[in-house]
This record gives sequence, C-alpha cells and structure tokens, in this order.
Amino acid sequence: MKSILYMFTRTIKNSIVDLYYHPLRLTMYIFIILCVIGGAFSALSATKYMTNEVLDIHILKGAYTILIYIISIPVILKSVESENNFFKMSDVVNIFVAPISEKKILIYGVGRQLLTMVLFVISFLSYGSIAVKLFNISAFNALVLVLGIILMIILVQLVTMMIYSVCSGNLKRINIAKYIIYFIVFIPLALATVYFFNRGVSIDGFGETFSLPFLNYVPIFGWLNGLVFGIIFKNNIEIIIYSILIILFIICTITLFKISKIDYFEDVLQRTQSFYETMNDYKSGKITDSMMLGNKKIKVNKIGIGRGKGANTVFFKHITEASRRSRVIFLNINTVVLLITFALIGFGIKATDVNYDWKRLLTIFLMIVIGSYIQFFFSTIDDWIKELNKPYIYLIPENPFKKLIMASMTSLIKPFIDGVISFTLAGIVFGLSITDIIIGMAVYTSFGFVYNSANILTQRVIGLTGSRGIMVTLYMAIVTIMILPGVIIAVMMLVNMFVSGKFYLSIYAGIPVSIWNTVVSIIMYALCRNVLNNIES
Amino acid sequence: MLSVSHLTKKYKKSVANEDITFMVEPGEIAVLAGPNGAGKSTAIKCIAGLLRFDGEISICGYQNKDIEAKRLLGYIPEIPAPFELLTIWEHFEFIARAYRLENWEDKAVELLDRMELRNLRNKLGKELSKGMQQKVSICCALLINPKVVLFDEPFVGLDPHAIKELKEMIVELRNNGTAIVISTHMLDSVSEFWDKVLIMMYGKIQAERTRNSVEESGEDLEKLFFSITEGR
Repeated sequence: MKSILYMFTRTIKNSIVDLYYHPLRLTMYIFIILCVIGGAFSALSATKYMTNEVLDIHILKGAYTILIYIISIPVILKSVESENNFFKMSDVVNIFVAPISEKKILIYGVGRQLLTMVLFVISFLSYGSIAVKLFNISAFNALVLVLGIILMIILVQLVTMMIYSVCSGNLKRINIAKYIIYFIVFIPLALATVYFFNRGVSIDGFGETFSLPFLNYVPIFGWLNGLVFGIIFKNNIEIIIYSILIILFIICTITLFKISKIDYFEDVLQRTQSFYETMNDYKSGKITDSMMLGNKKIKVNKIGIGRGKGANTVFFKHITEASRRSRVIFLNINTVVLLITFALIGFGIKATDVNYDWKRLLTIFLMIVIGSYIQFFFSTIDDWIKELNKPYIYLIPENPFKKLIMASMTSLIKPFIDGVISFTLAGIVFGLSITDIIIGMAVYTSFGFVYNSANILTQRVIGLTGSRGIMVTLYMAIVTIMILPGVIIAVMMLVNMFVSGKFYLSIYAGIPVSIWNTVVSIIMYALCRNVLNNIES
Repeated sequence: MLSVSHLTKKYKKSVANEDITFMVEPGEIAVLAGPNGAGKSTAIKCIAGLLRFDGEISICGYQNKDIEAKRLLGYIPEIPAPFELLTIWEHFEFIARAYRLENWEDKAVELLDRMELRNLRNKLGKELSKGMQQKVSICCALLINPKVVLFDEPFVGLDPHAIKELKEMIVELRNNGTAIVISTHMLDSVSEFWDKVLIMMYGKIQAERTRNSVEESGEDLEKLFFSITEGR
C-alpha cells in the first residue's frame, strides 16, 4: 500500500508542478476556484437580496433526487459490467502485476475516482447560491445539499466496491446484480413518472412527485435524500432513521469487502485497454467509430457497399457504416435527444398560462434555438472527420473538392432529416403552423451546414496535429463568427416586429438566418476545397 | 518510376527532411534505412502526398499530388488504419470503387489467400488484430496494381507466414516492373532483395549504395549503417 500511496501523492504533486508549464490550464483552474469561492460567498450573502418570489422547496427536493440519480446510476451500472474507467493503462501494466493485493488496488482505483468526482462536484458549488436565492434556504442548508452529494459519491464508490466483490467476473452474479439494480432504481422511478403524468405535467407536480414518501425508501438514493431533507426540514426522526440505515450500509459493505475473494483484473483489463486507445485518439483530436460504439457487438447482415464510383464511393461507404451503427440510417442518439428536448419544451410551455400566440412563438423559438445548440455538440463526430485519421481519403485519385463534398454528404443530410422529423412531429403534437415547421426545419438544417463547414475550416487551420482543446475553442469561435451576421439581421427584424406590434410574424426572422447560414457555408466549403489534398491542408 | 528531388520537410521548429534526392527505377527496390526519428516515415508520407513539402516528387512522370499519380501509387502506412465498420472484403470493394478498378475480384481473392485472410473476409475492421489490420492495409495497396509502392515498416506486427509471403510479393512486384520504396530500421529484414539502400540520419541521406557497388567493393553494409547512425 505504501507504494500505491507514494505513486498517488507523487502523481498529484507532479500534476500540480506540471501546471507551471501549462499556463492556460492553470488559468482555467484558478478561474474555477474563483467561481467556487464566488459561489460560496454569493450563497452566504444571497438572503440579503431575497425577493418575494420563492419557489416551493419540494421542487428543489425533486431536482435533488434527479441529480443524485444522474450522478450515481451510470457509475453503478458501469461497475456491474466492470466498465468503470478508474484504472489507467499504466496501472494495468505496473500495478496489476506488482505484488499488491487486488483489494488494495481496488481501493486505490475507487479512491481516485472518488477524489475526481468530489472535485467535479465542488466545481459546481456556485450553483448552491442559485438554490439559496430560488428556494429561500439558508447557506447552511445549501452546504448540506453539497455535502449530501459528496456523501452520495462516497456511497456510490462503496456500492462499486461491493459489486466488484460480489460479482468478481461471475456472469451469473453480474446478471443478478443488474436485475437487482434495475429493480431498486427503475421501478420507483417508473412509478414516480406515471404519477407525474397522471397528476398533470407542471412544475409543482414535479416537486410533488419527487417528494413522494416511497422514494425515500429506495436504498441509498432515497436514504440519502431523506437524510439531507430531514436536516433541511429539521425532522429529527428522519435524520435518525436514515443516518442509521446509511451507517449500517457502510458497515455491511466494508465487512463484505473484507471477507470476499475478488478477481476482477481480467474484466477491467480489456475495458482499460480500449478506453486508453479511445482517450489517446480523443486527445489527439481523432474521432473513431469505436469511440462511440465502445464494445458494442456489430451484426453484419448484408455484405458489400454495393454502389459508387470514384469520390461518391465515400458517401456510399458511410451509408454502409451507418447501417451497421444503427438499424435506421441517419436516426441516432442526436434524433432521440432532439425529440425529447422538443417534447420537454412543448409540454413545458403548454403548462404555462400565456396566450396561444405567445405559446406558439415561444415553442418554435425555443425549439429552434435549443435544437440548433444541441446539434452543435453532435456535429463534431461527423463521418468525414473520421476519414481524416486514415490515409485513404487523401490517396483516392479524385478531385479533393469532390471528395470533400462526398465525404461530408451524410453530415449535410443528417440535420435535414433530423429537422424534418423533429419539427414535423412537434408541429403536429403542439399545433404549430406549417410556416413555423418549414422555417424551423430550414433554420435547424442551415445550422447543420454551418457546423459542418466550421468543422472543415477548423481542420484546415489546425490540421490533425492540433490538440482537442484548441480545436474545440477555434471551432466555437468560427461558428460564432459565421452565424453572427444572420443572427444580427434576425434580431433587428424581431425588434422591428415587436415595436410595430407584429410579434406574431416573428418566425419570419428565421428566413434570413437560414439563408445567411447556407450562403456562408457554401463560401466556406469553396474556400476549403483543397482540405483533402493532404493531411496538412 | 519515382523521382524525389531536393525534398525538404520542415515543421515549426524542426527540419524532418532536408534536401533529399533519389530515384527509384521501375523494377527496383530502394530501402530507406535509419534509426527511429531519422525522417524515413516523413519522407514516405511526403512521397505519398500526405504532407506538404518543398522540392519535387514525381511518380511515373506525374507530380505526386496529381490524380494520375495517385492512381499509380500504393501506400502501406506504418500504423494500419482500417475502417472499423467495414468488413475486409468491403475494404477491397471500397478501394476498387474509389479507384474505379475493373475486374478486381480475382486479384482480391488471390491477395486474401496469400495473406491467409480468406476465412476472415466478413470480419469487421474493428475486430481485427494489429497484424491482420496490417495485412488488410497491404492488400488494399496492392489491389490497385500500383506502379510505385511505398512500404513504411511493413514487417512490423506480421506473423512469420505473412512476412515470408510479403517478401515474395515484393520480389514479384519488382519482377513486374514496380518501383518499390521500403522504410525500415531493420536491415536484416530486406537483406535478400534490396537493390538500393539510402541510409538516413537527422533527416538527411547520409549514404547511398547499390547492391552492385557493395558486392563489388565488399563493403559491410551493417558496419556502414552503424558508423553513420552511431558515429562509430
């Protein structure tokens, strides 16, 4: 254990020293620390600026419950499959083969993950001040909320250790563990969701639903929530009951861990190896299919690309690859996220008490803005970017501009299809006009063109040698510059419409945005026509 | 024929290749030998048209970045990069379609057999081991019947059978009039068939010998290599 401790402390020390040589990273950390301190001070002084508009504290309880689930469930589910990435390749190579007990190595891995997660949560401390302001809670209660999250992270790590101890690579036990977790976590959540929709979708309903007493009985998640809100509501019985339950859980886990025989190296090894390769690719700005598919088994049904000659073969190859990634070509997680977002926007606005015109406008406006914003995050994993990591696209004896168009064709079609599906469905469900739907689709698609061409320009400027951080920063800057003129024209039109009382025509402000975005994208494509001439173009 | 004239490749702070000039005739095997970091792979990538450079590179009379030159060039990278979601056979189909090849299937089957990939033809790129990926990469480059072939450390990761087969393929390519460049830091691996050797160090060609000149003078190539690379 001494050697592990030595390595752990040395790593922390060296990372701190390393910051000296990376001023940008150091500045970022200082900025985060200042935000955290600022947030803490803001939380302490927030009550001074309290207004009369205070939200029901049960909404906070609901949001807190969701937050706990979001933080914990992925970690726990990954533990069942031994997919946690708390070991690095250097650990596998150096520590796994060293004469150190597997339990100590697991404690080291889990401990490191714990530290990372706690630091991550602390970096969001400034949000505590928002809770203080919105729900009129004291700074002490805000601190309890944060400490609750930290305790939850510790408990999740204990659950992880318990799962590793119990499952230990045994497939039968892994499956049983999975079902137990699904039962404990998802059934109460499903019941709550059903209650939420039966009761009627509203913000108050959300608070009421997630404050239902039975949710407090869910092991660990519910107990923790019960303890935290027991403290906030000054309910001593709840504090005592949930404290005892949590302490008992901790004792049981540690005892089980001590008496169990564990053997998890094999399970961890493969995952660590592929994660290591993926991270290396990611850091060097590469996007690969494995990055998104992980260890997912791909079924090969139909063999052959079947179509294409010259440059357009690249497009048909992308279609073949897409058919392997998902059963329905062009529909993926992006489409699902978009549909869920649109549903949330639509139902959320439906629950408000503004008049019909405003509801319609707000719905389409938020769908366009948030939908285009979400698309931004998915646009960096386009097919054509994956081509850049391989020599073939440069070697193919075709005109580089043709290759560029064909290689990015799926990325140009994808936003159009997503836009058509999402805006049409949203239009039908939420009663939008045909004009709303068409302009919504056009703006959303045109943003897809912008993201695509901005991506191409970023590659042209930085090439494959640039770091991921610089690449993303530059990409964001280029996107901002590209869309700015269109957005300015749209804002001017909106102001004009509102001043003249024709706010119901606001959707037409989307027309100049989509036209501008398309034109500027075409120009960008033309300027970058030689990007596939060689790796450094 | 491959002609490289005054090739210089500079990165921001360093010079990877400096004033490299050499020619490879049809039916000739030239070996770029040198230690790690000598600039062999960079030179190969410049010839393949993957990097920007100063100087002149022509492939069968065409500038290396011309479409016609690309059509005549086969390149086997040091690190194979298959498409994760295409099967081995689809890799061949992709190359054949992209290069507009006709009647390529027989050649593809022959390559599969020689590299012992026939039973794996429907395996996806992501399921292949490093060695298999290297074999696919070799097959893709040779499928186009290139007039110039660039091999960057081709034997790394291959099993003994594949090494033997690849050596035979290289000799066959030479006999068919293909100009071949092989980059390697292991002279032993090419000792049986090299025609010309270019020993590189610090981005420059430090010595150039032909098999005939070495055989006539009785010079020890290995000694020459170490005298250059280790300063002995």
